[in-house]
Amino acid sequence: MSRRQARLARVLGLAVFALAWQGASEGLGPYWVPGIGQVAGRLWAEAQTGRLLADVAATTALLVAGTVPGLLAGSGLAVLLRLSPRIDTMAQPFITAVMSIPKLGLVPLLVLWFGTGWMPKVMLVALTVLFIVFSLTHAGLATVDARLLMAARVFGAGRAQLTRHIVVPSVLPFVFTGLQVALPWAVSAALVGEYLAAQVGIGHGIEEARQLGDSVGVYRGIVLATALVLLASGGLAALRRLTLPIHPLGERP
Amino acid sequence: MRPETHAVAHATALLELQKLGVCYDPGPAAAAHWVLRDVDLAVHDGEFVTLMGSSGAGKSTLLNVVAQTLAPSAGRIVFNGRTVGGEGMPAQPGSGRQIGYVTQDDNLLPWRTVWDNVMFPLTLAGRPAASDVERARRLVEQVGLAQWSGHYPHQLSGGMRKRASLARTLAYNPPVVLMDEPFGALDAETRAQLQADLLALWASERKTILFVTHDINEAIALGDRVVVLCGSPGRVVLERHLDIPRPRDPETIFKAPTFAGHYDAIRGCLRGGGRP
Repeated sequence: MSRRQARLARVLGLAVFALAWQGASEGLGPYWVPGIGQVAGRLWAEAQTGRLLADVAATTALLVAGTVPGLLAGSGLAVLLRLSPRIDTMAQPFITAVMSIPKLGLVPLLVLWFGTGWMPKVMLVALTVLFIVFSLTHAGLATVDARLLMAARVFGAGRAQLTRHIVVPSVLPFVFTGLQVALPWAVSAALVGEYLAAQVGIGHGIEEARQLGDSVGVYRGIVLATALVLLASGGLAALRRLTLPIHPLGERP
Repeated sequence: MRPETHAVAHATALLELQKLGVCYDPGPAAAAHWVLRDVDLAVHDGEFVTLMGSSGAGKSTLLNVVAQTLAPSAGRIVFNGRTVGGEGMPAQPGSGRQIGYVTQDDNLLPWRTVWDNVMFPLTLAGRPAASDVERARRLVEQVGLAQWSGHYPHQLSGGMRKRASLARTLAYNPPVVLMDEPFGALDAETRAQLQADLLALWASERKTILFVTHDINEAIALGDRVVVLCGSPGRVVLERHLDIPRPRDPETIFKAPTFAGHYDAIRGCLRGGGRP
C-alpha cells in the first residue's frame, strides 16, 4: 500500500466512524448519543474559557506523577528480583497473587489509608503502571543474551559496563512496551481517581456531567481521555525511536 | 599486567596447558563427568594451531578454559611463564586483556553499528588512543567492511558479520586469538575467501591463534600444527607439524605434496576414535 493509499484509507475509516456516530445519534436521540457537532461545540467553547486546558493539564499531571514512580519501582523491583534467584523464587507466588488483584478494587482501601486528596489517585496510577512494567521488565531481563555477556566479559567488561552496554539496551524495549501497555490502564485509573474526589480533571468533568444528566459533557470527557491516550502513546513511540534506533532483535522499529 | 620478574621456565611457549582437566558435576569421583583430562599443550608465540576432534571431545570447552570463561577443575594454564588459571583459581575472563575469542556466533551487539562494534572492546578500557582508532579503521578496511561501517549487524550477510567479528577481536589487539569454528556456517566460497583473509591478517598482525575446526582441509590449510583431541574425556591424541610452505592458498592446499599424508593421519586419528 502506498503512502497516499494509506492516508486515504485512514480518512475513509474516520468518515465511516463519524457517519456511524451521527447515525446512532439520529436513531437513538441526543440523550443516549449526542451529535458530533454538539460534542465538538462543547469542546470548542471550553477551549476558549480555559476549562479544557485546566482539565487536561490536571489529568496529565496525575498521569505523570503516578507513571514515573510506577515505572521506577516496577523496573527496579524486577532488577532486584533478577539479581537474586533465591529471592526471585521466594517472591514469585506472592507477585502472581498481588498481580491478580484488580487495581481498581483497591480504591476504597487507598481512600481509607490516604484520604481523598492527591495521594490515593497518584498511588492508584502508580500501582497500575508498576505491575505491568514489572512483569515486562522481569521477562525482558531473562532474554538478555548470555553469549553477548560472555563476549563482553572476555573483552574485559566489568559489571557496570555489562549492565550499561548489554543489559540496559536489551531490556529497554521491554520497558517501553510495558509503558505502552500500561498507558490506557493508567488513564483509566486516573479517571476513576478523579470520579471519587477532584475539583478539576477529565474524570471530574465526566462525573460532574453525569450528576447533571449532561450526556454531551460525558462524551466530551470520553473524547478527551481517548485523545490523551493517543497523544501519550504517540509521544512514547517517538521517545522509543529516539532512544532505540535499532531494535535488539534486529527488526527496524 | 605486572612486569615479569620470575625466570621464565618455558621460554619458547607463550601459552601452556599443563595436565588440564575440566569436569562438570564435580563431586564424588563416580559422578564426576570429565570433559577434558590431562591435556598438555604448548603454543608458541606467533604460532597458528588448528584444533580438531571428535564431537564431544571438548574442543570448545578447551577454548572456554583458555578464554577463562570456565575455570579448569585440574591442572593449570601458564601464560608468558605466569600461572593465570588453574585448579582452585576462579575464572577471570578479560583479565590482562590477553585473549581474544571469536566464537561460532558472531556475538555482535545488535544495537551498535559495525564501527561501534569494532570499537566496543577498545572503549571498555577507557578512551582509545588515536593509534588504536587508526588501527581499527585499517582492520575494518582490511576485512572489506569500510563501506559498511555505519550499518547495523542485521543489515549484513553472515560472512560480513563474521568479518566484523574478526575485525573487532583483532582491533582489541590481544596476543592470543581463539577461534571456534568461525567459518563453519558459511558457504564454500565465502569461507575460502575468509580463510585467505585470515592468513593475510595473521601474517601482518603476528598473532598466536588457536583455531577449532571440524574440516580437515581447513585445519591443514591454516595451521602450523594440528592438534587432535579424542575420546571421552578428551585427550590430545595427535600433534602433527604441517610442513607446507607459506604463503598458502587454502583453495588449492590439496595440491601440496605432503597434503595426503597429513590428511590420512588426521582422518585416521578421528575415525579410530583416538588411535593414530
